[in-house]
Amino acid sequence: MMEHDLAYDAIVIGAGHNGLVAAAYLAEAGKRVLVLEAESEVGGAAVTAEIAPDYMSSAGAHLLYAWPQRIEKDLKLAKHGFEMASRDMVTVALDKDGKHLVLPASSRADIARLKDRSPRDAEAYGPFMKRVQRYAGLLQPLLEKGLPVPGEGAKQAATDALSFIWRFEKMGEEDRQELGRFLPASMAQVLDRTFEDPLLKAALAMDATLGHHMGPKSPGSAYQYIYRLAQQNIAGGKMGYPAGGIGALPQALARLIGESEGRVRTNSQVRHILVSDSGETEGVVLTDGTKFHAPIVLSSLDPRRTYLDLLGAAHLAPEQTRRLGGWRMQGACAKINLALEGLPIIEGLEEREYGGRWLIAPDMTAMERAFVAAKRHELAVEPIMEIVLPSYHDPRAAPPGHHTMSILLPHVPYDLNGGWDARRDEFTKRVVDAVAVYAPDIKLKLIAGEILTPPEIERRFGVPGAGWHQGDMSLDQTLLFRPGYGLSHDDGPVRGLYLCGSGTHPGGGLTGEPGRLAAAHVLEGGRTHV
Amino acid sequence: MSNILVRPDFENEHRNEALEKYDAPRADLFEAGRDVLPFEMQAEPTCLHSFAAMSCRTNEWASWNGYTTPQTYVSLASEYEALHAQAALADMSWLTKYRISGPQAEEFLQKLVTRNVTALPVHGAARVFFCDMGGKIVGEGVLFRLEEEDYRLTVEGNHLDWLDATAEGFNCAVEDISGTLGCIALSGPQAASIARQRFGDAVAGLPAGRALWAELHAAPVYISRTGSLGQEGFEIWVDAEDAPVIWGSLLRHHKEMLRPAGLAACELRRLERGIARFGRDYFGAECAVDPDAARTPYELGAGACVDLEKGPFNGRAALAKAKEKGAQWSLVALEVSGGEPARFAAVYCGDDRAGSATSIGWSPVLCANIALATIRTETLAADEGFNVHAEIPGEVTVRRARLPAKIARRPLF
Ligand SMILES: Cc1cc2nc3c(=O)[nH]c(=O)nc-3n(C[C@H](O)[C@H](O)[C@H](O)COP(=O)(O)OP(=O)(O)OC[C@H]3O[C@@H](n4cnc5c(N)ncnc54)[C@H](O)[C@@H]3O)c2cc1C
Repeated sequence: MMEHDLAYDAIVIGAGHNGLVAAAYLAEAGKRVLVLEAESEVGGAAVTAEIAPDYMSSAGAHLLYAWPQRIEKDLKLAKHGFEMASRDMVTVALDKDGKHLVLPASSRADIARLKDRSPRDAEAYGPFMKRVQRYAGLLQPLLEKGLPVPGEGAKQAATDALSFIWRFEKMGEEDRQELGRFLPASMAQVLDRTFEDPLLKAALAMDATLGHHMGPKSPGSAYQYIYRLAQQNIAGGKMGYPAGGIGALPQALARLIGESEGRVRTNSQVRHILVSDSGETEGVVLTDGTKFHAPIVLSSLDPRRTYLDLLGAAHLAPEQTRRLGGWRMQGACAKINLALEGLPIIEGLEEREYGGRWLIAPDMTAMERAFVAAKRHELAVEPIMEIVLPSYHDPRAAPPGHHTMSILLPHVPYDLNGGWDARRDEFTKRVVDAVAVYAPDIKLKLIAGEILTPPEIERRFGVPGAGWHQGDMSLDQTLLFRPGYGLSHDDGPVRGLYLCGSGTHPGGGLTGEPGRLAAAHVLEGGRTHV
Repeated sequence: MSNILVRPDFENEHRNEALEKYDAPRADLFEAGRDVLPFEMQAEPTCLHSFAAMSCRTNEWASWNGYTTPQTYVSLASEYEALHAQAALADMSWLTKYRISGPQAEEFLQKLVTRNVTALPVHGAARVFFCDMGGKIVGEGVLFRLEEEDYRLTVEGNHLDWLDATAEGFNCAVEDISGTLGCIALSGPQAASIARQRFGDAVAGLPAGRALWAELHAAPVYISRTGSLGQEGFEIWVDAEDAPVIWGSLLRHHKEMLRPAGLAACELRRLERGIARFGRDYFGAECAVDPDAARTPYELGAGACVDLEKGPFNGRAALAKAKEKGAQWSLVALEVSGGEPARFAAVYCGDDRAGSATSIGWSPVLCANIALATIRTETLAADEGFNVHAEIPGEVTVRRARLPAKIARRPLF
């Protein structure tokens, strides 16, 4: 029998982690699923790769900041070889003078450090965190389930709305008013009202802007902070790093699917979604003409590519075409992965803090400048960075005593003035110089390195525009608006087509949640369910 | 007979203020009904502007669909008379016109409009509606098929953005050609005979909803047996540069039985024909702030323009549901008793509010107040009669009266 004659229950387009999570849930429920991935490797932006022989790093995404343990348990990922190397990573805001900050400041020692930098901030920190956690708590239940389809599932929607209103009421007058000021505000406004230490403010602002087309002064960035907190809380509140690097996660998911009745097929780029005359999905066609049939198709691609490129606007209502036309996918980033001859020495950094998530962002002004530079298609004078040492968590990532360093650079323009080819080296030099301010021996220890510019990230991981989230996570593109009325699941014009990537609710990051919710939606029978 | 033009600007000390606010918005036929935003105020001249101006003795102009057009040329009475007894020419060049062409023009239109477009022959024309996902009308107009893959859609309002969004993914082009094309309506009992003399027998014998190419003074003209506003007669489509020649020639050669008619007379004639007008009797789904001001074709009584069986199109699912549920609102024609022109908006069924009149006017031929009104469908079945709270302007004072009204068959005349 030829393989395309096989009948599948469902086809998943794209083997990013969300596509794989969706497929894994379906496979666990006994469905025959086929996952089709354009690239030669699964994972999308979540892959582990060699920088140089024997030096491994998470090539794209490099940190699980909101990966829910619930999914690990549901899918019994440990059975399929998935293991976390570290489950409790802290954030370390690096300071040029060695007075680093550790967040969340929960231990007495960490609070002492805060106090050392600013006694006032140390006092304000606790109440601030409690307050933002209350806001995140309000949002969290909305992220944990699929959002109602307008007009249908009205009962559930009403219950959810009532529960939301009840929780909102319960917050108390002061909190409510403050939330009203908070949501549209910029993170800089919020932080400037509360704290004085530039380093602390920058570290908190990082969580509001990382991966977004926003600087700390952008209106709406405070909302991003709450959103990320809520995502983190769903995941258990801790950041972690998998054994074998980020790529181990999709690999384990793919194994699970392979061991069921499902199948993951790489080098299989989907060109079209097939639709029957009666307006139902029938399957897909690959670029090489191979056809696969299934009554249900889940796409982990962003809404624009799914609907406009693969389905075709002819199947959409004009309202939907317009909505997709206005879909913003910005916020390009770059990656630099380094192989090092030893651990870089950073003054004032304690041993365990080498396993943290380092931030290089001295103050919010530098962050804002980097964002503004990116908007103008320029490189930041002072690059902003998030750094992880994969080899610290996973000794197999480098030869004994040696290390790898993964540097994520937000606010890097996709269309750089003068072109990336001409300015790659300049960019790399700027970044390494900036790291050297904190780790002066880095240049001596450098053995090899790779740089992934935004266009390269786009090519290598299949991420359009090198954005994080398949669509900005602003208020107008989250919750019910992700991606929008009649587009989210199969409540649109074509029955049987579901979105399961980070372009759908509850959005981006390595959370697997869009995939999990889409699978739940399919298993509940689609349409009529919430 | 000038009193068929009911003026809104009278004062009345007996007026109930509260009732006034609710009951009397935009009820007057010739009133620019709503507040106009500054950027909407600009009005372009049509290609016939200077010729129309030469005949426009009253110098009364209306701004319509973004263009200026004479309200009356000489007097409403004489123009109304011409439309009824002889023939009249009207400048309709202010219509918005889109050209839709390309290999997938038909597929695109099939998705856009609620009617089955494949059934439309070359040189055919039909009334079409286009609806949003909720089945509410976004716009309506007349669709012409000029060639196998070349269509023209004439509408009121600007719908290019909507058309573009719908055209996404189809191999066809949508262009706004409003400025390049003039439109002259030739209507009235003598219209056919004038058409025969000027354009030949073929034109005079055109059946409704058909069109053909002809020539006048070496200018190609496309003549259709249509009335965008429901007037019986012909529409002459001609290049904007040639339009004045055709206009002038027709008026010159048929002086005795043809005169230009302004918007006021045409509108009154439309009302007599019982034709609802987009933007007056209902709002487009995209511009209605109150969703209740938008309508489905069923609510306009235009269910015949919806073909649910033809395959997918915008709003099909919602329209199928709407059809099953039955129209909540019905657009009806009303004839109101009382032998003099009156002004009214609220329509009652017994003592209960049933709906609103959206176009009103005094029809001299019927010697009655007539109106188009949108009323709750359930009141149609009620035993009680309809009535309106009317204001009847006298010379200096205004009387209030409750006048009985009855649903009239369309066309009223
Ligand atoms: C450089 C970078 C760093 C990041 N760092 C982090 C991080 O540290 N922590 C974190 O939580 N998040 C991070 N993110 C965000 C996170 O990686 C994304 O939100 C996540 O990968 C999205 O997963 P997804 O499955 O929804 O989509 P994707 O990963 O984009 O998956 C889509 C898949 O579909 C495939 N595909 C595309 N077109 C076709 C087609 N026509 N046919 C078949 N297959 C196709 C693609 O190749 C890809 O594999 C980062 C993102 C980037 C770009």
